[in-house]
Amino acid sequence: MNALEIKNLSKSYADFRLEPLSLTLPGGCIMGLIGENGAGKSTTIRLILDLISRDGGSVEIFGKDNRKDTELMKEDIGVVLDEAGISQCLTPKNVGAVMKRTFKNWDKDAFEQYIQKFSLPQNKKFKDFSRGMKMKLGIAVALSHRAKLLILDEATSGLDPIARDEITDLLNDFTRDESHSVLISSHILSDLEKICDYVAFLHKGRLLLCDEKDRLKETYSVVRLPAAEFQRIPRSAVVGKRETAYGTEAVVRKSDLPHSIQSGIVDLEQLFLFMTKEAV
Amino acid sequence: MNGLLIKDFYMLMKYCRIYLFITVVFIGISLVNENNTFFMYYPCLLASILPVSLYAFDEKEKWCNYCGTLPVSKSQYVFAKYIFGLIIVVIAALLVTVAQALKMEPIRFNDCISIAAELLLVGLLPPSVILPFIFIFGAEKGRIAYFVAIALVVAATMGTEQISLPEGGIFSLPFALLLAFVLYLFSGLLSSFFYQKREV
Repeated sequence: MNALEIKNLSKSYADFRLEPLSLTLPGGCIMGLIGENGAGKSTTIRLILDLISRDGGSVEIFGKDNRKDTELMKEDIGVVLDEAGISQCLTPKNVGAVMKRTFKNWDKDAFEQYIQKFSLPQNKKFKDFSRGMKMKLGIAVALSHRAKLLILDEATSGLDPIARDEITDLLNDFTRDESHSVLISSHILSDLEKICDYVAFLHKGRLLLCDEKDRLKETYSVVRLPAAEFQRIPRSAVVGKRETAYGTEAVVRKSDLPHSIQSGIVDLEQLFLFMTKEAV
Repeated sequence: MNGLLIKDFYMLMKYCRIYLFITVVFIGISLVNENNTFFMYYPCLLASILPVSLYAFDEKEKWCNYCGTLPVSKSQYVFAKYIFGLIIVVIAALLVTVAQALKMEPIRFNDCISIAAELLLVGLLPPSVILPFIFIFGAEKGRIAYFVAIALVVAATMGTEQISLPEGGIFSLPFALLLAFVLYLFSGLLSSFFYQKREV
């Protein structure tokens, strides 16, 4: 079963419009929602969670409309928001007591294990935590009520590389269970490169692509050539290019590339940058 | 909803200690001050606006947003604030009533009931009026909207002829109290209705 299925989801504000968006997150997979600030990642996540009303389209979580039995559905979803949202005066101990009475499936032991694993002081107030500690507490809550779907909105931004590595390891562990899935939005593409099975590129409210990461790597590659030699590449093969004093760098479709031209492996950051450049 | 009540309790104990201190001091003053009823009513008045302060903290700390990700409906969130408000007003009214009873020699049960009813009335009316404004417009704009609405009501009634109330009041105390509870409930339903439409 698909963990998440979005069809033609749209939302308009005075200064921003999320164009009809469709994507599917299969069970047991991690999908990275990639986009610059203001691309529509948080709007998409807020629509999935029914925190804001949609203008059109549909969202199904585990095969059910997200607006039906919403509270019951949220028992199965663990969410970490950019600004964690936990009351500043609460300690991890307090948070545990609150969540125990909020989630039916609250696992007190699991929560305490995560608190220990993340070395979070039980009696320190949330406001005195570093950003990394705040995010870890948010993740501990999200993982301690037997959620099947994790939704993380910019949960790794602002964290040091060690903390980010710990979190990506956790997400990998989480999806070892095939009924578990993760939707993670971020603009730190190196993190997503490591963990995602699927990626969705959002740019100025428009979905540029949504595909398996490995298939993207098979489909696209990167070339760096002197300007004259670059002319040999058919225009249809070029996804996006950048001209410098040393030549031309471009992301290209491998299938349309002449055999005589050598290309390298593209990473998500290059693919995203060149695609968005072309989409401007 | 129990989780929300527990969270509000923690917030009350950590953010609103000064209110609790003032309440205790005023109850103490009301014990020795025979003539001024202000010290008797003020703790309930203070308790009555605590849900507004707690909501303002929720909004500032983005809890309203986070709460939407938990298995809690917007209606439950609103009613948790009303229930918590009712609990603290009842506790304040009980404490003040007990303090007033200690002054009586002998303790007059009927007078105690009257005092408790008056205190509940004082504690339930302000949140019934202000909370819908808060849930419709948010903590900051809601307070402004509340004061504008009150100013408009005062301005509108200034031009009208003074209405003379029948001696002894138009409502009996039990009826007034019942009306206050109904108003509080209606206020909760109104807040819930509008909060569900609001994108926090």
